[in-house]
Amino acid sequence: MVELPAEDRLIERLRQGDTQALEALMTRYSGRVYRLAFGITRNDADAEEIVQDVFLTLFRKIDTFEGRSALGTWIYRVTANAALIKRRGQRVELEVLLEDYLPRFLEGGHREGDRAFLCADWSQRPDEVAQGVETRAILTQALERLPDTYRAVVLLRDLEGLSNDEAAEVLGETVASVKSRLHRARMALREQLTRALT
Amino acid sequence: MTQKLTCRDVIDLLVDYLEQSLPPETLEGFEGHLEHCAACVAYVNTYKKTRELTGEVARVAMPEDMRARLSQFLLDRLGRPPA
Repeated sequence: MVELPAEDRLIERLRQGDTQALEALMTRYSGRVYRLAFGITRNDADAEEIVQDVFLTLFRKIDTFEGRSALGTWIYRVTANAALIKRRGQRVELEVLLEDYLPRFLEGGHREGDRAFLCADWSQRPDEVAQGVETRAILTQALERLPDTYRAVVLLRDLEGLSNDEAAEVLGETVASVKSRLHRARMALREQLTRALT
Repeated sequence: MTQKLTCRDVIDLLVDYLEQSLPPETLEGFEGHLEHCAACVAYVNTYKKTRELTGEVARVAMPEDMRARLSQFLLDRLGRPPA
C-alpha cells in the first residue's frame, strides 16, 4: 500500500468523519485562519466566528474539496471570502484614498517632491526607530485604513507568504490584479510610514 | 542590451524586482539606475522595509481561550469530541 503524504491522509480520514483528523488540521491551520480573518475584519469577535465557521465547513464539506489546489489554498479562500463578506455588511469606515499616497511623477519620469523627503531612508535607522512601538502603531493604523480587498492581498502575500498565483486563486482574481493591488497597497503603506518618520 | 529606466519605471517594476523575476536586461537597467539615483535607492529600501514590517505587525497569535472555544464549538456542532 502506498504511504500517502500526511495531509492527504488527514483529508481521507476527514472524508470518513474522523474528528481527530479535524483536530490535526485545526492545529495546523487555526492560527493562520485567525490571523487572516482578524487581519481583514480587524475585529476579534468576527475573526472567532469565521474561524469556527471555516473548520465546521471543512468538516461538513470536505467531499467538495477535489484536490485541484492545496488544502491550505482552499482554507485561505474560505477564510478570505468570509472575512470580506463580513466587512461588506458593516458600516464603511473612512478608508484612505490610495491616490493620496502614491508617487507622482514629473515629465521625464522623476518623482515629484522635495528632494530631502524623496531621499529620506528610514529603513537604515536604528531598530528602535524603524521598528519601534510608534512605527508599528502607524503601520497598523495604515493597514486598517486600506480598502478591504487591498488589505487582503497584502496579508496573503506579505504575512502568509503566498505567491501571486496562490493569492489570485484565493481571491478569485487575476494575477495581474493581485500584483497591481499589492503594489499600490505597499506604496500607500510605505508613504504613510515615510511621512510619519521623516 | 541594458534598458535605460526612469524613476517611474523603477517603481513600477518593484514587485517583480523583489520576486527576482525581472528579465536580465531589465534587471541590469534597474540596478544601473539605482547606482546614480539616491531617491530611488531610498524608495526601494523603504518599500522593502515596509513589506518586512507588515509581515511582523500583522503576525498576531490566536488567543489561547479562543482555541479552547473552537474545540468546544465543534464538539457542540458535531456531537462528538474533536480529540
